[in-house]
Amino acid sequence: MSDSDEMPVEAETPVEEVEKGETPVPDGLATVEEKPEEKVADPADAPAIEVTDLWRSFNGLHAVQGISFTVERGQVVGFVGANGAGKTTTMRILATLDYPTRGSAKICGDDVVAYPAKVRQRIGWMPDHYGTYSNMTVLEYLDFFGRALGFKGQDRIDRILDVMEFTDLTSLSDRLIDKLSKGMGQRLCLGRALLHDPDVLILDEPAAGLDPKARVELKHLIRILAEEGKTVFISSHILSELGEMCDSLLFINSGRIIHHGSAESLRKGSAENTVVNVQIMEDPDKLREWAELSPNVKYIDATKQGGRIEIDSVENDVIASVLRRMIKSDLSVIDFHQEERKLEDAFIEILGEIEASGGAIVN
Amino acid sequence: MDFPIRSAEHRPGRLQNGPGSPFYKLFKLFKLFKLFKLFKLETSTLNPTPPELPAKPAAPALPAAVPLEQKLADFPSRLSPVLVKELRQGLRTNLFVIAFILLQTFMILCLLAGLANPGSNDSNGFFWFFIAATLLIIQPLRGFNALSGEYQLNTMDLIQLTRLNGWRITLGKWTALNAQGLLFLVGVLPYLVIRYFIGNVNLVTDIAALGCVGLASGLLTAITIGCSVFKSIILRGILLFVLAILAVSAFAAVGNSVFGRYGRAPDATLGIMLAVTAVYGILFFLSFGASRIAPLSENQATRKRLIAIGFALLFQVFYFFDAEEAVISITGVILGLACIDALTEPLPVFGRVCTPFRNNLLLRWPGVFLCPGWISGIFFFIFCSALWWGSAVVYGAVTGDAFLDQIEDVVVFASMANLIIFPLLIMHLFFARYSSMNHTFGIYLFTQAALFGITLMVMAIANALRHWEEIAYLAVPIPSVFIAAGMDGNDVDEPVHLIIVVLIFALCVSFPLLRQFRSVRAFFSALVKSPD
Repeated sequence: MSDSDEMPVEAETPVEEVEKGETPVPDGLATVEEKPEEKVADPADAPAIEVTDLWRSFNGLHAVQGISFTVERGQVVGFVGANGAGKTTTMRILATLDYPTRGSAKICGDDVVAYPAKVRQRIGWMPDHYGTYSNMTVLEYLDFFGRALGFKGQDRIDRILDVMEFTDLTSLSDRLIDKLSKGMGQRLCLGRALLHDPDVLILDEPAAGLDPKARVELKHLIRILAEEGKTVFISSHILSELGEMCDSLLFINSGRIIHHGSAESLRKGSAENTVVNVQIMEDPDKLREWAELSPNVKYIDATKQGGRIEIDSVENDVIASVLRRMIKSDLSVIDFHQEERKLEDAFIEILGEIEASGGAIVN
Repeated sequence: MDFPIRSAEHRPGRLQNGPGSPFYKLFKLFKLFKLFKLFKLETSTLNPTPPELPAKPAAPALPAAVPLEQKLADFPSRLSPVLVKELRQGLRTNLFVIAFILLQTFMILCLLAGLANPGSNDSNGFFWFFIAATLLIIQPLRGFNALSGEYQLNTMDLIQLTRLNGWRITLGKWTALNAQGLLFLVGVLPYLVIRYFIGNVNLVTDIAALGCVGLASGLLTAITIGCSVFKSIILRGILLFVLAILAVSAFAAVGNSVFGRYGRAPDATLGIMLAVTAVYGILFFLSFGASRIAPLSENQATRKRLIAIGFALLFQVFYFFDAEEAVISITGVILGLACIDALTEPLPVFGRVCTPFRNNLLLRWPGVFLCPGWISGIFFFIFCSALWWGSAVVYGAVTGDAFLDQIEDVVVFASMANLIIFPLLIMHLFFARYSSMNHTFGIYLFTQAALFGITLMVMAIANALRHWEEIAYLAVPIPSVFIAAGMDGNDVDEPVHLIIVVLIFALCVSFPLLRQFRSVRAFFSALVKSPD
């Protein structure tokens, strides 16, 4: 078979309707139950990722249990969960590398089961463990994937050079890829995922095992991609980093979505009080004395140069009035900032709430 | 600053000789030399005004770095990406370089031996031995890890997201290995020509033999690549060992007939049949590997099954070239291999792979046995059985034998078909939960091997028990052997055997379908139901 032989153009085949079964098929990839395709009026308006009642089972074990969520175009969404929560399974289904037992997943309006070839053109996939070939340079690696993606001649060369420049790999073009550091390897993997200029990037644990410098570099690259309007669906264990770069976060636990919201809302949580860390130039005891006499304020504990107080409101007006009263009382305030809940704490708290409610999902 | 000297002195196991020994003197000299170098270094660095050095001649300009664009254009775009990748990797491996140098060295030695003793056959034997070792052992073995290696490296997923399908991946790998084999062959050609001038060599026979070795090498390479899809090294190793022995034995046995050795006349028809069978073998094993690595939404089965049917039909032509017995055997082997593969295919995503068949009314019925997966594989098996039956009928017509007119013939024929499908019954009885996974081929082989083992044991016991022989045969698990063994007795009614063999056939075919009824229903639903 010559190189010109193309893969069957799956996207051109009409959408099929397959009888919907009564129960999820336990082990089966085989009898994926497909629903009638909902025709999207304008594919440009379709969400970047649309997951509806997605199930995936392996030998009776439900790795993903009816999850549903939507990611709009141009958003950066973090996918968070413990090991075995179902993150990678979901991501692999979105990347057309696995099949749902039930439910549907769409990328830019195209079903991942019905139109895998079309979906593959729209996504860039970066697995948690990217593969390295022996006896192959960085340039040859990108060239192989450029050819495999069907790019020919100068177009292929231009794309490879662009990607190498973007990921700062030009100076490493002749380096054997099995000799690359983890950070360089991740950049190479990201470069490979960008070769066909996909709309949606699915990144599975891209920062795992990276040193701080490589992590910052990767974060920088992802930020640039987000600014360019790409949708980034990224999983990570490092919640603080996800909080910085993501528009919203999806928490998954035991195959179920337990939270979908912005990092900001998670940090604030459902608390009715605000904890403020105050530093003053005087003796910290003065802060305690002042707090004990002030309404709406409760002294929590002392710090080296002040202390932590709790204001019985989350309203900005009340918080501002507390600060004004401090200054009026001649306290030389040098620092006054709200303490935010750490995302890790928020995650643990949500898990705790689920356990307390007997496994029922709170939101 | 004395680190080099101290470290030399403290190395254990060194300088075992005393101060008077020549080794010690040599060592002292070395120390002095080191000290002298260090002294020179220190004085030069301490000297605030180093003497002006005479102007050095301008260093020769370094060769300009090759632009990246030029590096990327080393292979034309029309070449298969996998071929380019494998060639770039393969030509860099130590194994290739070492094998090439060794082959060249041995060729030169053989040539020198031939020059020294022109009439001797020894150098001729060595010459072929080294070529065969390189092309029939080293080259195929390089494909041992071809597909499973992609899984181990986590690169298969990345490749599947490109426009490469399973077939293009396996074909690319096979072509790359053969291209490297071709380099070996090209490297050998000059010696072939020189040997001709030395004498005692038939150049035509040599080139024909080289072609045979090349074909056998291609087949063995396809076998290793096809088998390399299994992650288990043990399964891969056993399978490869057995298949390689079978292939080499077949080549050797048929090759003797083709070249007219051991008193036989050269048989060109057999030679052509051998070559065509080898080509089918290459296509089969590459397709086998391709279908096992392909995503479940990709249809690699239809082409594979059509190729088997096409080759089986092609071989019927040889009935008219006096090769009746070989035709029926080779047809059986071709269809048998294709059936085993079809019966052990994992179930695909029906909705996706059935679409082309469903959308065309003419293709719907062929789709029943051409779609991927073991369910359609059962119908493909029935179709192939009928085809083989047809081939046997043609054989009877061509030779004038009353073949298949006797019940005995029909029973033996059907028993051989049962031999292929019987393990499927066992698999769906005991290993049903693995039926939709990639392990099915391994389970099939294990079941078949176990059945053969038990059969041999029971037959040995039956032969030992003179009075209970027929009862012992009842315990033989392979129905064909049971029937064949039973038929040796005079007191057994033959129509009963026919009924038994048909019942076994019906049971083997229907049980898996009934057991996995939901999947069967989903398959037919996807195949028949009209799109909205």
